[in-house]
Amino acid sequence: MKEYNRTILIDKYITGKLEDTELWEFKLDMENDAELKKEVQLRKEIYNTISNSEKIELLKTIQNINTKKERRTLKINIYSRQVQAIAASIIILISIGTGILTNQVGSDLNSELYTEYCIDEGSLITTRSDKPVDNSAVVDGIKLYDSQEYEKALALLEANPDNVTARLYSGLAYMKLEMFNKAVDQFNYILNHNDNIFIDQAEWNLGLSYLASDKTNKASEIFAKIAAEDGAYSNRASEIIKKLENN
Amino acid sequence: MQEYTTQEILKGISENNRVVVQFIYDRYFKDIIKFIEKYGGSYDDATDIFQDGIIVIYEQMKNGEAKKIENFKAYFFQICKYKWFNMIRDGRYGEITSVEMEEILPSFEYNVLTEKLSDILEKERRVKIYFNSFMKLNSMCQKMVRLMAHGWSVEDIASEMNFSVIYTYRKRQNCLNKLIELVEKSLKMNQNF
Repeated sequence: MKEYNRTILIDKYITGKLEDTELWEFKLDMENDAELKKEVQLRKEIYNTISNSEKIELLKTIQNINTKKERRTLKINIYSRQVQAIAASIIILISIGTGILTNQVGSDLNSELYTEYCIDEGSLITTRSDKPVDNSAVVDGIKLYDSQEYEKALALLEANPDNVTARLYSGLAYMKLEMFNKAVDQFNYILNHNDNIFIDQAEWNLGLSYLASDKTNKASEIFAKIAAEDGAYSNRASEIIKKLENN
Repeated sequence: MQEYTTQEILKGISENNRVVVQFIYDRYFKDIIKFIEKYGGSYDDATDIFQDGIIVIYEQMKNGEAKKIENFKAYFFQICKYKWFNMIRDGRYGEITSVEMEEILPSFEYNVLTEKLSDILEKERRVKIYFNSFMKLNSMCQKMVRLMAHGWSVEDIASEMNFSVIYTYRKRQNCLNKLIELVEKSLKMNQNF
């Protein structure tokens, strides 16, 4: 089996996309090839871990807490002005040489701001809207979203492309899955059909999606607009702009 | 600092509530470090043990096995102690006297816990390796591998990421190879734990 075919076939097998003859042949290959069987098992375990978005998020939360703590400790230890000055000079010299500092810091800051400001509003949004959702598939999709089954939620929500509530929840689900391009499409749809009650939420989450995908200029534009509008998210948008400017 | 009941903490873990996880860290981590350092471990070991403790409880919440937890602190420490006991029992962290071992070994519902705990901890040991290896990939590779794990076709990944299909084929293979390499390296390093 060529390397390429092997990889694709393993993926298809693990994600349940092999059918009939192909599936039967692959199972036969596994029986005769212990290495293949081992590879499939390992890849399956890895994919199961990575596709468990809920658990990955929890692990990230724990890691984040530890990282923040380490950063705080480092700040306490490096108190001397001389040490700071030397460290700053070294960093500047390295950054001039490599030209990567701005991007990396920008990227880290974006990621931190996203984590800080991305609060799951979930069903609060529909409660707040005072308008019951009359499409049962969309209601089920929202329930799945609330129970953090984002892919299953998307399957139902995306079957209702004309429903603005479904679009909003699709965008939020894509954010949870960190598929920000797709999230942007959903929020832009809502903003382009501005005769609806979700403009504020769509605009705010569009800004966050741009921020998370390192499109900082676009994010700043959106947040500046929100900050100027004096809406529900204007204070938070102003905070983000300040933090981006102070960087 | 706001206080939480055991049930609120358990719910917070199962829902990945950052405030609650932060509370657990602020409230209990220093005691875990103290304990681990007393028995030859380091800050990093304590960090690992803390993470394992939370994940075990998360798994038990998901499996409906956490209902009998009445005192979060006692239970959490029991798990952390058990995990640490498993790491030091072979003497790699120095000689441990039987009296010390008595202190480390959790006694409360010990027999009931150990069997299930060792299964979960072994599973989580591998999960942690997969997660840590995944987090070492750059953000583009992370996204690509995540989409692969969710069963996206190469064509769909290419479209989502604004890449050509040919580039995506090549890139996904590189990312996957890198991930497998990292995983295998870590598994080899951790095989005796």
